Amino acid sequence: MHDSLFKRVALQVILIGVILFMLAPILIVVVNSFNASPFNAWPPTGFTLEWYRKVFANPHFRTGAINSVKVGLLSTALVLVLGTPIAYALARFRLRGLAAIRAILFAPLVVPRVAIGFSLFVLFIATGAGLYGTFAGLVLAHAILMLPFVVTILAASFGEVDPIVEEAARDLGAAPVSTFFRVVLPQIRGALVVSGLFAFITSFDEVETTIFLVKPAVNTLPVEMYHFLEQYQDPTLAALSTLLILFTLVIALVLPFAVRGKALLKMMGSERHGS
Amino acid sequence: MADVELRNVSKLFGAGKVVDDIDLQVERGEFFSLLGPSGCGKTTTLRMIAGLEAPTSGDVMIRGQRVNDVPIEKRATNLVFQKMALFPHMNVFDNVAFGLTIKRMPRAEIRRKVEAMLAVVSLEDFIARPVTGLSGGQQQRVAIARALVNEPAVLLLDEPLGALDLKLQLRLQRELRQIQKATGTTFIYVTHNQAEALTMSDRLAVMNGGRIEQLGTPAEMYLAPATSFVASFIGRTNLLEGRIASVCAGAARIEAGGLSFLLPAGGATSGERLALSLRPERIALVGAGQGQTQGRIAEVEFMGATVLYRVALAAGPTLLVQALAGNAPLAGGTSVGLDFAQDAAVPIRATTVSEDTE
Amino acid sequence: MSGAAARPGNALPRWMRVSLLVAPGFVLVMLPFLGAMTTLGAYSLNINSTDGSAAGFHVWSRFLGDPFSWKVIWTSVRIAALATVFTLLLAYPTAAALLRLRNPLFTGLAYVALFSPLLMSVVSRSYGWMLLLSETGFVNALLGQLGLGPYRLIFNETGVIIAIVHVIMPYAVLPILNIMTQVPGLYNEAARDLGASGFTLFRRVTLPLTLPGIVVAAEIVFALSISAFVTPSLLGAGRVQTLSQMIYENIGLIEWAMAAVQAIVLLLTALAVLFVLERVNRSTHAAKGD
Repeated sequence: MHDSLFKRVALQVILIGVILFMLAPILIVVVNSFNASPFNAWPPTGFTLEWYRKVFANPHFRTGAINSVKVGLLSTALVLVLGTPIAYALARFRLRGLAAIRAILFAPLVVPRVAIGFSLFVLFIATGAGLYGTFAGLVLAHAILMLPFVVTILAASFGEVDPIVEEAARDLGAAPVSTFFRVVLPQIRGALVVSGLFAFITSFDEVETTIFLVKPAVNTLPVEMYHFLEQYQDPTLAALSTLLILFTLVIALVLPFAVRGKALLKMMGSERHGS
Repeated sequence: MADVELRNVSKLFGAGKVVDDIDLQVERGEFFSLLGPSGCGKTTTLRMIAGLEAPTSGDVMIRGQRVNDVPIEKRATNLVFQKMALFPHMNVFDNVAFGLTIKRMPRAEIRRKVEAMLAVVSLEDFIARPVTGLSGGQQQRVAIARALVNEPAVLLLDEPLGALDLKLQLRLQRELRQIQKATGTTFIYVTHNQAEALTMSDRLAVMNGGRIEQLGTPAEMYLAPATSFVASFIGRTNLLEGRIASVCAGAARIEAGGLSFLLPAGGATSGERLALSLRPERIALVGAGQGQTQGRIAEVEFMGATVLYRVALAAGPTLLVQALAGNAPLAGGTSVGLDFAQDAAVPIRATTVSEDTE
Repeated sequence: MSGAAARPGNALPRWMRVSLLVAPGFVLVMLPFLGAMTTLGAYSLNINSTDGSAAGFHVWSRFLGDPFSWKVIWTSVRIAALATVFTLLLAYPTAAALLRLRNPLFTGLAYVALFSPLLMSVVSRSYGWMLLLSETGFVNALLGQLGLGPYRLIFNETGVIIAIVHVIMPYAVLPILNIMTQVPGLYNEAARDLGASGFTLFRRVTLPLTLPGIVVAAEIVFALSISAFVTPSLLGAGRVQTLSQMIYENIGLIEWAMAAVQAIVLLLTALAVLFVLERVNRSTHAAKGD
């Protein structure tokens, strides 16, 4: 590469600047979680673990966290179970009707999440289905948001499984269903893990649709945090955020063991085709 | 008894007739080849036997049973694909064991059979290797073992050596033939490589445009091609347009391209037109002025043991002549005489003469 | 290939097998979504009126006739557009710099730093920016050391835009990174061999080749920005009014018909910008002849 010195330096300065910019709010949250000042004063006035104690003492955060995990696991399971056959159909079949399915499937990507949240709210009210303020309603909402992403990742992955391998399995005596579970699914294991983690984290962090659909009893953790932040600004939230950062970091560390970095980047890149 | 029988089988894709009314019987223990250029319908025929395609009309019989409606996984056939089609997420053992596992065979028996089969294809030492790390030749041997371990009535091979380099092809040809002999399994082998089909097959069918041009042993195909397509597709030949000049005492005198042949008449009548195939190796180069006809060498193709000459005849056509290389091949432009026996040519009843005589 | 063509023993025709694969997801997820969109349209026409007023377009005319509505729409679009532009201006050189990194350790750390915020809740991130930008916060403390400020960086559009840029940055870097690795010969110096100097090379070769990636990034990032709710709500603290916040407020006020109108306007605004960007994308593809 024959970039001029100026260009090289300029690019590196921008990269370092952007990295600092991306890390700054995370770092400040972590540091502030130990800040003795209840007014977030900078520089910190002293070291304390008081805010962590407050997090664990807060019943709203506790039920919120449990609700979030429940909704996250249920909606992830639902999206994987429903999305896998759709992705397989999109990757393997060329039928005219599938274009329409694809259009409906990806439509939630262009609809603002607030609009999805509000429209589901009125749907739940209008149909009287009793879904407003329930886990089922939240799971459905999160499934709507995540299905396009999960299907895109899985369809790209199915597309890389050579159909001739399925023919070989059939030829060796495996029935269609058995072929799918023994030969096709194991080959997209990485994509299943990635899309599952992606779906769980999306669900776990979701606010903008969720906030329209919850009643206090089923508030998820980020909704509780949002409401907390509307009233208080002491470092309790910094402590909670730090715990959540640790939690997602642990989840994220699972990733490299499931798939190699390049495959991950490729799959993340493939998302754009859906949007 | 025939292991595989096709009765009036046709296959249409849209409006195109890919396989056109084929009749075929493959006997038990036979090494049978389907030979033809790409698009001739040979692979589709194989896929219909395997159960990957359904015939549009006609019957597919395996060991006397009509299998038209039997799905692929319930047929007593197994396939070896050109693209290997190994399961990339399994090791060698699991690939070979796949069919037996599906059949829920006891584990110990699976292990015994897989080990025995890997010995047949000389891959005993690779049993625990991931298949993705194997060479092309090793992968194809895994594919063959994976199919054969199920003890199919018929093993179907779809250009299995097509993706390998030439040296490996020749070695695996011999190995395949040995495996076929050792197991006594019926092999149906699809290829576009005529040399491969000739050396390996007990019998073969030459296909063209969805039809079988000729069915027979390699020697019959080569020595007595039924059509000009077969004559030119198998080996090289000189195709000549001829006319029966006279018939006398069961022998016909045939004039073709200024040359004259004396062949058994076999019911032909004087004045009839026909095509003749004259193999390049049946023509001998002699000194100028000698032999049946005279010409000049137009092109020289040195092939090692032999040399292929293109000789432009004074009488008109250009003939391919194959001669032993000897010490020094003749140079282009040399005037030569050509000599051949009066019965060196073979008459072809079919009227179509292919332009491509290579 | 005939992979899925009629095979012996296939009891079901193709369309039926596809339907079986798609049906569960369609019924359980896609159909409710379509239902929700339809209900939204119905509510905007005041079909479920709570105060006995008639159905019709009068909520629409009330919204569109109010200058305040147009101010809010303009604020939403302005914030989203500015955030998109700033993000792209930073994301493009960032992606280029990332691809030039040779040390695998640095590369890995840079990727983690850039993309790990994706895993963090928007609420936590907004909170982080509140801490950084507040009057007694880190940034003003730092500037104070330099004898500057304090500046008002929060509870106004500046703070909202900064926080939105942070949220959408990874979504912009990714597609640009993607196209930079895909464009063949982007780094093979062929154009420079033909005598193009640095900036000309960028303007005439690199930029046009990577434009589709920039457009995709702009589409994603704008759609996310205009529908942002948490960030403007927390960092604007009611002083920066966007459409998404009005929708949320109107639920509490039981102004559901009005909220429905606003939700549709938000959706249409997002779609309109997507449409324009998609046209740009098409024309760049057409210019390249593919």
